[in-house]
Amino acid sequence: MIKSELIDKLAKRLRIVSDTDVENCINGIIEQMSQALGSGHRIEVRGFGSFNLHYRPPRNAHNPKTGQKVFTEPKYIPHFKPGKDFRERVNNVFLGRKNPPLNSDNSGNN
Amino acid sequence: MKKMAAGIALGRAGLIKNVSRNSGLTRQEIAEILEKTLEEIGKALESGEDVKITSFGTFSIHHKKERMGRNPRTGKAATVSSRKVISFKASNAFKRSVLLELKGSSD
Repeated sequence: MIKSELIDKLAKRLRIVSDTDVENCINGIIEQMSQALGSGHRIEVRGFGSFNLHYRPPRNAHNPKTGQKVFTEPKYIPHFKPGKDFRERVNNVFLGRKNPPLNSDNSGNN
Repeated sequence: MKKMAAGIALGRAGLIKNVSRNSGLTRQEIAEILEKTLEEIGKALESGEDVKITSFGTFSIHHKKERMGRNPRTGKAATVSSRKVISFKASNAFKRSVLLELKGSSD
């Protein structure tokens, strides 16, 4: 599934908002997420997982094409840790177990 | 750039509030879009389909083979069963915008 397919599905499910609204909203969410992570916050979405930054120390690397040595900057990369429910749901399918239905009408918690 | 502390957690409510500041949508609408997005991502992954969100990243399922592990508390050897795990790879655009934010906020 790619972004445009996701937007299509959401616009169909949520008749009141247009697909442009959905698209802007998703982009807004992504933007807010990078701002939150960039200002040192962790993002925790219950039932889904959390986003955090992982530190990558500087290292000596080289360009594989030219063999030239390059020095990489220390950096942080976004990391996602799936929540227990989500992790189990995906693995249950693999194990052939049934998942309980999602309670999508209570849009707040869980 | 300094090393990250654990950081304050931003939850659903905080995220929705932040998005609503520069959006014409109500918090309720944003909440609904967020919720359905998570649901659709979940559904796709459960059916074994990868989810690729441009300018954000890719969620995919990795297969893990059975392996020998150890109970960290008791030190006893145990087999870890074969399983499917969710992995997320942030896109270059997302990584870049996070780093830009970091540089902007630490100077």
